[in-house]
Amino acid sequence: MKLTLDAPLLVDSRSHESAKLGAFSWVATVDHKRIGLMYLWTALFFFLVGGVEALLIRIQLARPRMHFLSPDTFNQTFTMHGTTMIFLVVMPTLIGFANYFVPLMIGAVDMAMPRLNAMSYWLLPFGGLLLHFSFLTGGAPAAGWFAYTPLSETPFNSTQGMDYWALALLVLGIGSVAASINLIATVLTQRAPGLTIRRLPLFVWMNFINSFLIIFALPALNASVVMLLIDRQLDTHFFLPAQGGSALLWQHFFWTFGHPEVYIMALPAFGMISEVIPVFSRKPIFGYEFVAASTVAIGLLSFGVWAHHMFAVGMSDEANLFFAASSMLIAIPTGVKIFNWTTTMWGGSIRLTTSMLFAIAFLIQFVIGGLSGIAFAAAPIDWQLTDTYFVVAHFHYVLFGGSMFGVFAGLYYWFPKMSGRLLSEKLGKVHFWLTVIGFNLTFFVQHFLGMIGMPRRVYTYENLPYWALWNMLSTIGAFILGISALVLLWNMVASLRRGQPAGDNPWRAWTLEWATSSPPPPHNFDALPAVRGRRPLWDLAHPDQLDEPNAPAQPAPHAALDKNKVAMLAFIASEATFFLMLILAYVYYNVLSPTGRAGEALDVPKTAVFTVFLLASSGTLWLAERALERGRDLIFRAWLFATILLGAVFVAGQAREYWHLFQTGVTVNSSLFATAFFTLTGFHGLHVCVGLVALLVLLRLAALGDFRHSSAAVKNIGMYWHFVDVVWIAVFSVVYLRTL
Amino acid sequence: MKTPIRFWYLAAAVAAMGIALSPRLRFLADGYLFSAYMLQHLILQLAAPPLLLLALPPSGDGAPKLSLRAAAAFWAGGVGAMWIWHDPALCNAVLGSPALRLFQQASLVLAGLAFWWPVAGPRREWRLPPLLGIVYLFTACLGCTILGIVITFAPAELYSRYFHAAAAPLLFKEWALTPAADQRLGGLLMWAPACLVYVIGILGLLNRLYATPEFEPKTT
Repeated sequence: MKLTLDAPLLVDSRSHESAKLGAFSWVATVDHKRIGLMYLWTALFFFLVGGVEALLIRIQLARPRMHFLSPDTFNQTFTMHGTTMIFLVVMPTLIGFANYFVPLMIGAVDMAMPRLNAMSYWLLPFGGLLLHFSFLTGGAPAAGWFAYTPLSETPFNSTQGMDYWALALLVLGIGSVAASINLIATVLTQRAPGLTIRRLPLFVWMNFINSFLIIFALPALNASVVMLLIDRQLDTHFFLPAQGGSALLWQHFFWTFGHPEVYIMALPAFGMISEVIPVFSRKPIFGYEFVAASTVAIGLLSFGVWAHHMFAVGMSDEANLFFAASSMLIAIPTGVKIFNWTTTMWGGSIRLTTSMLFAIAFLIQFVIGGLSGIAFAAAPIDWQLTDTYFVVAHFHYVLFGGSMFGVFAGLYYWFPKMSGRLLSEKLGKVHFWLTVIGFNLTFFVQHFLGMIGMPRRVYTYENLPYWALWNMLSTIGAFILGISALVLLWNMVASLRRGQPAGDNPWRAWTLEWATSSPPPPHNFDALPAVRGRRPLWDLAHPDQLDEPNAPAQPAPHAALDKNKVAMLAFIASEATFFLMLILAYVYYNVLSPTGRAGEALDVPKTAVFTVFLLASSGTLWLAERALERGRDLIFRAWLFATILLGAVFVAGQAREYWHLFQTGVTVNSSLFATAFFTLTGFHGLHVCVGLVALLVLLRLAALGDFRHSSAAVKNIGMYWHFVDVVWIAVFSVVYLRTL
Repeated sequence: MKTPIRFWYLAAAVAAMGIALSPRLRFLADGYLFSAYMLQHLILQLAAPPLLLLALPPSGDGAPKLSLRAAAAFWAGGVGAMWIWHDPALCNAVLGSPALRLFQQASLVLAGLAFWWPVAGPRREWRLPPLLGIVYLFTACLGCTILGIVITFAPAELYSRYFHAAAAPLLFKEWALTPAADQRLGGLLMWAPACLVYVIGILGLLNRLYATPEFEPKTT
């Protein structure tokens, strides 16, 4: 039973375009597979860059009192290594795989919004360029990847490195949020008939959940780096304690992002493991529901425990107590997953392919990283070991031993689908063993180094007992790891040239990406098998042993969900988080601070009048939508025009207020109140202006007669406009009404 | 005969109410410890009502179809009650008047029942579909967390009713609590453990999503 997709039109236009454009077609492409590949190649490039940086660090630390790198160069190197590996390697790798495989695994033709997808990708190389451009401006950032203030502020980092760091992270953050909005819309609206939410392949499910983590966590980072940039560029004092700011607020804000980020870098790798282990154990995943639900639990808990990164900064004992307890809870859903993967292997006929070997090594090493993580959740242990090499060992076990091993498992598993050729198993096993040996040698000894007191981020050390020995072993391990990366590269290049052809389904796997050719055609599927369970290809091959015998053979299509509406709601959720951070910053400095007598300069009644204008614009827009639904085009345009007018009056009112404040000496760096005030209201004003542009575009399109039959675009822009108004209600209450 | 699970829900609900209204906790919450007041508040609104709803016999067999507007009202009732009763002025007023205190506690239970109705209510038609329910609980959790954070970081004299001479010897000397620590404890209770209630609710919804048969069994 086959469903034929209505695709020939798409094929024609795309292959025609590619032929005409040649190599430029890669720049112009909106094909999720090509974009996915570009993500992966870019990430591979930065993986080599970050790897070389790691080797430089290890050479400098190989012996005591080395002078290979100067202290400042050393600081730049570890900062760039961390930032590169997290934002330019692990995240793009995972998003790249999601880009390539989520649409294939749900039987879609492409992502929900292919052009947005291209934009998400192109922000990545440009973000990377911004970050590395800092080398040409007098020095790379040198304050560590979490850029603790006040070290990352101008008095202590006066080169432009930190500015480029902040700008690059902002660009990369926007790209990640856009990619996630797209993934959410894709999973919710582009699934093949029969592929219900509860039948999603676990890789898709985990990327789906992960996308929510990204749209809520990344805006917190964006807000933080925006505030840091304002500090550095406009000479303000958000995070400078000497001028009344708060260095601790940076830590809270950063880790609000930083802790979910740990899971953002782990969940998709969990998803890969959840695909690889069942296929190479020849058994369906054990306890699908538990794996899926524990993913949600991990995601939720990850937002509530960031303060465990701050046990040593002198929070209260009560706070330490609560965050120690809730951090330990994360061990439960993570442990559930480990048990499920292990039990999937139990009694299966295991095929030890390179992919499976990496998956098994992942299980063991991730457990080690998890155990040292539980140790850190106990505040007293954290006090002893924080900022030592024990931390370095811990997070490399999670991020390399976990995430990267998961990625390697996924790479050996999906490379044949992406290239049409199998990776060499012989070279693969060499790569695997070199990676396992190199990785464990590099990082296991760092546990000991941390326990005997070696602090992280020191550029050199004295010849204390055992320090030289463990450091030398770690350096040797790092070079073995470097060689293993070269073996992988060699394997990829050699296999691309003359690897064994893979065929459609070399592993006899069960998910939809294996139901098409390798590599898939531009339109993905010529024909899609009917989905009647979690393993469509199993059901196709074994009609007498269906996973869900009661499911209908010809599944009905899903209830239509508008992808633009879903995307707009996801976008609004991420914007709301951004504003929430700015509002919290304002509250922290002006409402909660006992000395704050904020806002005396504000003219509340006048602003109240302009507020009425803005709120009225929501009403007129609603009237416009109603007129459009009733087909009254002229009335629709009139109300739309009124909305724009009211919005413009509000913006003019805000400009007038700013002018008045400037006249009385209240500028962005005159006080903490002014800094927080201008940041918050300024970003809101910017959003109103963006909304006005969007409404003007609508008005123009309406004048051309584009909306005769559809009000969807108006509804979506309308949601954004109403959201901006709701944000203003919050801002007005917190900033203005409180001063009365 | 096996005791039905609903009996245990009822027992847990009664136990939760018993703890919240026990003389000791009330004594502490009414005049001595803000953290006790918070604990009481959380039990009355977040623990007892959902347990009570789960103890009711489920009815109806249609698909969930609560309107979004109604759900939004229930949500606003629950989160609103949580925020409003922690307004320092209102909180101080309530502590001074037994009648107002009674009204507050009743309103918390009612707001809790309304809030949990679309998730744990007995009538299936009046529930939210599981995925929307998850959004409902997640956003409420966010509202709760923000309030907890604000209370934790707020200046210590916020809930001034708890500052009086009688409290000092026992609480602050023998139990080594400071008023600031007491308030932080209260804020943290709302920030961390309260969120766990929502997480458990979300896991319950996922359980419901996966447990409901998607297709009618084949009739042969």
